[in-house]
Amino acid sequence: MSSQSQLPSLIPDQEILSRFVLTKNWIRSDNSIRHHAFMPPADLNLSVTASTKLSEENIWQIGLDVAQKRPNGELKGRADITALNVRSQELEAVPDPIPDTNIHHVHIIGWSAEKPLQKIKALELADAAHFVPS
Amino acid sequence: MIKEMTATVALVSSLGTIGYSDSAKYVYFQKINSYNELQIPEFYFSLLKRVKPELDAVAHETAEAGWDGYGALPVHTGTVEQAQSFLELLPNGTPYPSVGAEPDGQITFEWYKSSRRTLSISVSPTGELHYAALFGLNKAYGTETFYRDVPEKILELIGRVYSL
Repeated sequence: MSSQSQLPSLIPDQEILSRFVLTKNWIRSDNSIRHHAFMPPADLNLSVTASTKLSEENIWQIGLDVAQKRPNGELKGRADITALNVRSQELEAVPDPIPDTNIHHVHIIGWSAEKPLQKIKALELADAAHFVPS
Repeated sequence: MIKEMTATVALVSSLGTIGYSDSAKYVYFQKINSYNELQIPEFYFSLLKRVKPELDAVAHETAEAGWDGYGALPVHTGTVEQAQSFLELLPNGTPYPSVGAEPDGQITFEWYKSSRRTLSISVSPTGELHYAALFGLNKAYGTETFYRDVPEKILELIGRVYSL
């Protein structure tokens, strides 16, 4: 699995944060990303992986591990944004390493509990995202 | 043709808050229909009939917890029924939305022209409509409740996605 490097406590603006896409419903026919990919879960910690220093092989291996958690899970690709995109929405990216699984795991935090605010920020992140098919 | 005119006029009437003349609204929604490549016979199909298969597919895909691989809540039958009620209340001629689901188990309808001209509406099991939209550099978001008719704000936003 991926590797030696530890994430700094302050993730740099240019760090690429990958959100693995496990349902075709998150991708439009023009390969743009729907906001659903960036809607936070109930605990308001949105899981992404810091991928700048990872090889493509390592990134996809982590994605496959994530996909295995889903019933009939299939990795469709990933939606890449930067930490700067996150901060532009008054959110923050903080390291949340998962030992033995994904030491590059990051949480996007700072979400409002108000649903419309979550949606508008997710729309902005989706607009900034770049889809990479698996 | 008369039926087509009637349906369009009904839609235009329900969108009276947009602020154009009646004739401008008529031309405007004719262009929307062209955008969606609607043929005249298809115009008579209700929006529900067109979108229901996608709603059913999303409901099936999201019926179990964790459907997104990140611990999403399941979409319950009551939420699907609310979403269907919302579709039934949209005026004929409304552009067709795409259907999705969010991790809290709410169904979404999306009207999309581009990534900076898009509207997403979430339907909650209790009939709340949470919306967010991007119109170029502008944005709109909030909550409306529907009961027996679709709030004018929602119709206005749908029209704005396709405005010229």
